[in-house]
Amino acid sequence: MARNLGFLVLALFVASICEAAVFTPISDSHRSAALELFAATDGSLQSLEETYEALRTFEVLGIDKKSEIKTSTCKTVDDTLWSASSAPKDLFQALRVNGILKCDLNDEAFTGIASRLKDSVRDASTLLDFYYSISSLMLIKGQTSEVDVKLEDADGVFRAIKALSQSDGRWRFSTNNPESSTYAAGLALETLAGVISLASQEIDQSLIESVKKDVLKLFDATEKYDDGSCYFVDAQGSEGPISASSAVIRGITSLASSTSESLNLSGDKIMCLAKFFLGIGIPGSFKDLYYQVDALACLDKNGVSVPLILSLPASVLSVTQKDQLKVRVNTVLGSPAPPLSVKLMQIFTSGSKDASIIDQELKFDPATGLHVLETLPESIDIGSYTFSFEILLRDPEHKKTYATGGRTKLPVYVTGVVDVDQAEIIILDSDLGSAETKKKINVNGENSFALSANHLQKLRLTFQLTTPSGNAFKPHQAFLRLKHESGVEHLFLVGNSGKKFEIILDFLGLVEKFFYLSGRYDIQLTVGDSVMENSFFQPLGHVELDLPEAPEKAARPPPPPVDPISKYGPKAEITHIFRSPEKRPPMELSFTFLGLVLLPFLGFLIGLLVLRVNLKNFPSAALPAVFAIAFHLGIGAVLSLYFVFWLKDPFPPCLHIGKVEILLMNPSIKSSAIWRTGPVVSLYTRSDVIIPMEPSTSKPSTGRKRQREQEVSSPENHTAGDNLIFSDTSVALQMMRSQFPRIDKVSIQPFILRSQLYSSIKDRTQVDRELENLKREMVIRIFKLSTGQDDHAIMFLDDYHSQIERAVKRLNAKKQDDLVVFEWFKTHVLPSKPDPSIGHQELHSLLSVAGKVKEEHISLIINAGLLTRQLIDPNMYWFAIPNIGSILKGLTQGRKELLSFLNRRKYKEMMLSLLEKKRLRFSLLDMRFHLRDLIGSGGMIGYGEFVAIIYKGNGGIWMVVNAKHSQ
Amino acid sequence: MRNLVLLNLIGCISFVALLPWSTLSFSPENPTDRRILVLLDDVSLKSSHSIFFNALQSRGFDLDFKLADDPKLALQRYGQYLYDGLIIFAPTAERFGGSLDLAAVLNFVDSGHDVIVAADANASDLIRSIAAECGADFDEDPSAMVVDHTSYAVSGTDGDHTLIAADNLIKSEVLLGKEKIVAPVLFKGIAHSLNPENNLVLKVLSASASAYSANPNDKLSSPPSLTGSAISLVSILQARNNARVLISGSLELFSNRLLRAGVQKAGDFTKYEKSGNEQFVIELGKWVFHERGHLKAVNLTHHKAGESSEPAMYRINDDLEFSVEIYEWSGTSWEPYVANDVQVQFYMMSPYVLKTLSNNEKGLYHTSFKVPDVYGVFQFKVEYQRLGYTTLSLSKQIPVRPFKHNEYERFITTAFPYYGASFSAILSLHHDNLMETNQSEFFRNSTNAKLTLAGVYY
Repeated sequence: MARNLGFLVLALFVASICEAAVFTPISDSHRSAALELFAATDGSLQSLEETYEALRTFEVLGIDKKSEIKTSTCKTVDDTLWSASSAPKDLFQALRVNGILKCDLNDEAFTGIASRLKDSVRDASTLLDFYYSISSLMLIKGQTSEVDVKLEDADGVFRAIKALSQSDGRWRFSTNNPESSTYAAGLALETLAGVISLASQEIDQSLIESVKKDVLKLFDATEKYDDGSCYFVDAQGSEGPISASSAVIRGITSLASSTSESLNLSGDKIMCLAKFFLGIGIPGSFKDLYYQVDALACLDKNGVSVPLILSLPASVLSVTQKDQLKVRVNTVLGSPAPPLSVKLMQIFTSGSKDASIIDQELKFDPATGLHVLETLPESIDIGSYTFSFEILLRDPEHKKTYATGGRTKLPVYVTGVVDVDQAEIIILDSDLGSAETKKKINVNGENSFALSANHLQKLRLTFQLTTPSGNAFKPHQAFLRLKHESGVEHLFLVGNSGKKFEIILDFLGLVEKFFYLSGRYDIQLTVGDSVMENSFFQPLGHVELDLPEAPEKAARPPPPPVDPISKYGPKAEITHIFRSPEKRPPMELSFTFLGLVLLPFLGFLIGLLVLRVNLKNFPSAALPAVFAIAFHLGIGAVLSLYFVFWLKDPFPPCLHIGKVEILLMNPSIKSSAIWRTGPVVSLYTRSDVIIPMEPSTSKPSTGRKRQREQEVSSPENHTAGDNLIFSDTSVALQMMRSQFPRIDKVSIQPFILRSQLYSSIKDRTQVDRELENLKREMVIRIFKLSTGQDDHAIMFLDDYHSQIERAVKRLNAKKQDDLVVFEWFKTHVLPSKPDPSIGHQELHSLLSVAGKVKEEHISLIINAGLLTRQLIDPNMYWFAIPNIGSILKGLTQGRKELLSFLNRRKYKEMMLSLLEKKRLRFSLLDMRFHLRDLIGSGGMIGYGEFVAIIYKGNGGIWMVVNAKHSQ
Repeated sequence: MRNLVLLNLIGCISFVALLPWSTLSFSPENPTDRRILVLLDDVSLKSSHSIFFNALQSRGFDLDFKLADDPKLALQRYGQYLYDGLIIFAPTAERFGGSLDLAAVLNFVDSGHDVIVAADANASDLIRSIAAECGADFDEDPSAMVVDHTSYAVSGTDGDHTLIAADNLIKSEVLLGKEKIVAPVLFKGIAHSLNPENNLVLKVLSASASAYSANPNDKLSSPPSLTGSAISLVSILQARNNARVLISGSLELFSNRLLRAGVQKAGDFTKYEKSGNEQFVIELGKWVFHERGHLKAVNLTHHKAGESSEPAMYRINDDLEFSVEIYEWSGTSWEPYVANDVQVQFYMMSPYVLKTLSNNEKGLYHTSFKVPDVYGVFQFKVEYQRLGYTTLSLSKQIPVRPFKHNEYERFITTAFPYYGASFSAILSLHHDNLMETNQSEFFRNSTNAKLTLAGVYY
């Protein structure tokens, strides 16, 4: 902390030159600051302690605020003093306030308190107890002479307090507390001073001597600043340096006054503490201000030594205004000093070590209280100096009571007007050195030279600076600035030789630095110094420079600085320019053409009239007439339908025949219709849709076949009855189900591949979405197939159930009891798990809802083909269609066969009608099933209506299927 | 064991103490900072700069004064920031105590918190690097100060012209308050220049053209690196996350001494009773801690002209109405923000429409325009960047579709000849049909007539 504080004060006194620091006594600024701080508290002081601090500060600073708060505060003081329960601390505060306010109190109160305080002195154990009691007694002593405040056992009390002292001069607050503090030392010294003055008989001299030693030890522990001030630090850190130092000062000053003996403290120590308190300026908090003012007040009138502060009212002296050097000597609070004389001993020129010894006494001016040096010494020209003063006290007696602090060094600036002469700006020819253009500069007026130069020339600027005493002057700041119009700046220092300042800019050597930028350069000259009263900053005009072209490798000039503010602000508005509408022929032209177009029709009608057209042949018999009318109305209706269609759009839904018709035609069209692009099935009508159920190959069938047809139709009827509005996918599913090839060898319910759905419905996302819905609604089930990554089979749930039944029937031979698990599987697992796979745990728990499940049960399900194990994760099962194995084998082989077959064709293409007639050797499924599958999975592509093409490109085999309507 | 219990107890107490803070802390709805950590070189700065601190406290800030080398310094605990703002009045601190370092300060700013940094002569590398990260480069010469021989503050005791009376203030009401700062601002400290690559940092107070940065006690041997109005005395930075940083080259700028001092500028005979410092630092403090210049935009709505609900999509050439509400935080409440330069863009890769919004003086900004005849996915964009205000950046996506096939104009006159042709053909066919089937024998037998018909129709 000491380090930090050091930095602070350094920061505060950055202005001061190292060896000389400026300290000024308390002044009006303190008073106004105190009033401001007091005003900030709204005049309402919380406690007696704060009241005392405020009153004490105002008292010292000479501000009268007593009357404002006297009545209310006196009441509090009175209450506190009369109250029997008041602690010594409260009494102390009340008495302190009373000491300043002088409230109307009778001695009776004091007597009672005094006896109580004496008791508490006797019982006291901690330093604070002693402090409050003894200080209170001291205050009573000061406020009334009637009350007896003498301490009988002063020696004992003294010893008790002394027992708390430490070897380093600090004190402890109590015997229990081992930590010592400087603040406590201050309090202890003040208490001891009180004990000494309250003692009824002389205190043992040796005790006082030991206390004196403690004080000296305490002063050894001061922290010092470079500027000669010092302070105390509280080791515990509970109190800041201001309060700690203030307490110590109060302690030693009261000790000095009570013992009436010298404390053997040197004046320098006191001086450096005084400097510390003056150096902190005006504290921002009332508390600190109180500590500062209180400490300074103690120093102002103390028995040790009163510091005298030497200060300069003005340290900037102007030669032109003939300012005199004035010195003020005051005490710390700004009260006048005793008779003394001030001597100017030495003058140091700043920046050099040498000093001129003057030893001149300043004249005292009693009217202003200032010591004045009437004329500055001859040797002093303008510049900054450090003056060294010494205070000589007239009265030798005073030397004991006042501390002067030895020599005081103070910075002084002597300023004056500097003459600027012979200012010229010249353009020189390089080789000859002859002047091309020569301009005189008017330093005090406006200059606007327009010069021009090329890179072979030079620019020379000269001027002379002379101080008022005729000496050469060298300013701190002598800059020549060339500023290019693009914003690039170049700064040159103007050097001097004696009085003459000269700068020669050889443009040949500077082209690199100037980035080869030709053009206008503004010239600005700045000459300034802290002691030069006429520092100036002048634009001189401009020079037009003609520099050579930049070579390629030359450095680029820095980009001109972008004003960051420019990015703010609104942007220019943008409006969209709309396309102009298409040009149209004038209306008249269109109508003319309409007329022309209608002419033939008119001609036709006229022709009919000319030919005497009649309807005499119209059947007159009832039946033929009805048919004839119906026939013509029919044609008329068709034609008017066209008209309505043209007139109205969107087309009313009731007339939306759509393409459903196509499906209703005969089966061979149906099959090709599915392959055509576009949404094949779009049903918006509410009419019943008849889904063809007759497979194309159906013949008068056997009993078994008939049974199957019924099975096939059952889910269909069910769905159609429930949902009148079909989605494309469900219709496609129904249709494909009905077209599932009849397989005699294997008993399998119809299933559909997802890829087949894709082949017939364009929007795959819609397919997926609707499949998902159907799956959730428990209409279908989706199974993962082992044939490929993306192969999924879709089976209606009812079909699946019957498939399970068949699989179970085949297991019949085995244990009947276990077959119940299939029922569980159907009722519990299938409805709650629409996903294609299931974990072992989940399966187990779902099954056990129905009954006790054994591992054999699960193996039974697997054996029946309802579940297959996943290869990756043995705890996961795929749901599977029982009995599908041979068909799947056929599926893969059939795909291969079909693709290789087409691959062998010359153009990788084939007529679809021919292809359909082919039979596949390895597959149980029919050609249509495979074609749909391959088109949907991307193995082929359907295109047009006529031929099937396989096209082998980079990506693989493509087949273009063009279905021809042979009908 | 006892210590441990004690520690726990302290932990609990401090946690409890934190609770009421959290209700007051910075939030989008209440953007003014509440808790500020003040780092000091020395406790006495607290009293020597008390006017500035008291002004903050009286406005409801919770200042936590700590020494810069306090070993318990921390900005965050358990990932939560303990403070909303940071004031670093420790120009000489070579390193901070505790877990605080340069990276922690920068993270603090990166997470949207505000910082005031004051440097001074002999500023430490730490302070310099904090400033450098914010785009302000202090003069590298440690003993250099800003010196100005033409616009210094006249004083009887201060003769080296380092106390500068600066009046080159940025012109911005949001930064410096509505009331103009009349008296010059006293400055005593070091110069900095702004990094040209950082376009977020701004000079608030800049030096006059004759100023330069050098050690006033040494002769100059080379041109000073910073001269003229390139010198910035006080700068601000508003980061992209709206964190605000104030960088001052002078700690004394904030001190009671300069706040109370009278000022007379050299060469000017007007003497001001009080310098502009108090107004300057307090107003700037309000800005830094988000008591001013914090905007929020709400209720960005758009709809077709004449409708009120927001469509999912526009058609080209639709007329639409756009509105947004903008409010400014006044330190206690959200007040309507009134300006005439808020703009909206209708944007797809580049703005197709850029329009200034008109406002109703109550914070509602609105405009209407026609959707361009280009379809695609557009955005409504409000990019509002104004000096001193937080950046507003809103965008809302909206697709624009072309006409559907049935939305075009029907029955175009130009097409009438075609219609006429079609329908005359249809009607002719019907007539012919009628005639053909029901013609009398007489007519049928007339080969001549048949030929005529054939000539017309086949």
